[in-house]
Amino acid sequence: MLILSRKCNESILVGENIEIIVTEISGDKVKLGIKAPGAVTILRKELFLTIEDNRAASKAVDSSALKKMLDGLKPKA
Amino acid sequence: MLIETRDFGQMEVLEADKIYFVEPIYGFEEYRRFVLLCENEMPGFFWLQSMDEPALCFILVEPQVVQENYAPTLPVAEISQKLGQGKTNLLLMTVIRDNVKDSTVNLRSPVVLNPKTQNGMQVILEESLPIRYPLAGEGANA
Repeated sequence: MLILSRKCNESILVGENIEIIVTEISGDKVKLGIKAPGAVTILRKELFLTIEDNRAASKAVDSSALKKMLDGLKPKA
Repeated sequence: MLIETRDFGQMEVLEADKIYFVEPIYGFEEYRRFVLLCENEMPGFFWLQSMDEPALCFILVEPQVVQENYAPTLPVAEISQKLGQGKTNLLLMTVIRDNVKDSTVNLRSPVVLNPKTQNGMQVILEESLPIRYPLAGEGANA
């Protein structure tokens, strides 16, 4: 992983047509501006992972596997 | 009304079972209308069944089944703006696999439901909770 330090308004170039700019630094938050072609998907990582997890969650489940699994769990009151 | 479900065949559902996702479940933007079903033999688990696509169904679990003290900070203003006023319930997305040990629950992105307004949404919390927390809990035996 490449680690770079940037001050406010400084940029990073990724590949040939992506630019990431630090637009604001406030407390423990950094605001980033991202310039990229429209076809490039830009997502907060946790959103990407949530979508991926939701897709996995939507897969059909064999209900006998589910019941067997539940026998191993004790629902807390 | 009668609907086709993925896991239970045709089922009769009531108006009161319906949930409308004001904000969609991430990745499933075209599906807003769901019903919440449960099975007597599996307390704490709920089936979120799409009303528009019989093959689309999520299995959700009450947080307390997995983590007794699950009480994350919620974006309350956004939630009441989107779902309306009133008490909300949280349910967690589960990824169920054949092996218990591989099944997980998403603590980071709970599904928030307002039973009174029958609206729902999925929230991604600021707290960096795990997206794939073991359903069987930490150090539990299968």
